[in-house]
Amino acid sequence: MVKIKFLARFKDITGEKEVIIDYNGEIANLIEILTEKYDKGFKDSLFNENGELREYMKILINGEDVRNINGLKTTVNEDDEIVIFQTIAGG
Amino acid sequence: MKNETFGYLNDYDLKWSLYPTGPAMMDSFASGETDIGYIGLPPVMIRLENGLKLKCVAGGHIEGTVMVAPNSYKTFYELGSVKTVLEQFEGEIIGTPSRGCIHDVIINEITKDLDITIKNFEWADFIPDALEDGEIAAGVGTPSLATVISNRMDSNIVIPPYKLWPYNPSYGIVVREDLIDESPEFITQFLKAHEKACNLIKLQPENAAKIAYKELEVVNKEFVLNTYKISPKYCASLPEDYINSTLKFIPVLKNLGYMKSNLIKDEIFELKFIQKTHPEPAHYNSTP
Repeated sequence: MVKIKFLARFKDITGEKEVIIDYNGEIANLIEILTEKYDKGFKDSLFNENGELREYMKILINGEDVRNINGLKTTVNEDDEIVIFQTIAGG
Repeated sequence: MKNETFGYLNDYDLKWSLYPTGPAMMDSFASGETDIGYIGLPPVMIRLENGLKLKCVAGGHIEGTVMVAPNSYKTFYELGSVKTVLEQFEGEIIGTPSRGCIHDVIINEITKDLDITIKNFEWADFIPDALEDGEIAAGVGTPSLATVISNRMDSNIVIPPYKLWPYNPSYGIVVREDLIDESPEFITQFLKAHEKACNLIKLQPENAAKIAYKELEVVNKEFVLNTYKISPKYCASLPEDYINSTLKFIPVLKNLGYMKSNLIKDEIFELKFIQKTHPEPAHYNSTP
């Protein structure tokens, strides 16, 4: 089972802190499942008008930014933990 | 700077990257991916001691560390001393970004004699949720962290930035040392643009906020303006106050076990670029 945690605005949009989904495959398809499950604001917040992941939106898999792995083609495996958030709090 | 370089950097093909914290940016410098960066000075000092060849060539912002807590805790203005504020958190956990970043160093130093646990988060963005969930009692980080928290819960800045560590070098411009000989003109042009950007925030915050929120997307102008107001101390210069405040971190970093030996001013700073591009007095605490 894959655990997906939502922070800040994504917690507001989804109305959930986390969700657990039975999934194995590319992160892009998992995100597609989530965009169908939640309000349009979820997709609009995450992607720009060209369908690209907005620069300040982060998808971490087990703490690693998907951009540093294989982007939206990164494979999600059973027991992975995903965190979705907008990075605006500085460092 | 990414979207408005005031004509100074048009001839350069720049690639911008965002890092979760200063220590992560240091890893990028170490791997040769980054040539120039905006960063708080303590992680730079830690890595200088470990042999990374870097120099701070300009300032940027001071007093950019704040402590935020739910409004059930009293503030410095109510209690009158930093120590009394901190004593409210005895037996509690305070969250801050990763080990070695400026916020982590400051909060570890000022709580060293108290029964307070410091929890590090790889991304500062995890801190507001940890605070909402009661996992931590307070958060220590940037002014933007304070704004995010205030948008999500009733909270206060319990210790203002100038009381946590006066003139702390929350960020400066740091370059790979080789860049000083390879591309001095690039550094000069970068610092000219940087000083213009600092002045835009101080003199025309509405215009600066417009640029920033368009870049950040899906936050509003008020978010950016509220963040600027928390510690509007921007300037590119490197006055003695900035340098001395930076050097005061050395014994603290040694006590915390983050570094073992001393560094001197010339090992951290290269002043020739900023002396040329910003010869006038520093204006961190005043209007340029």
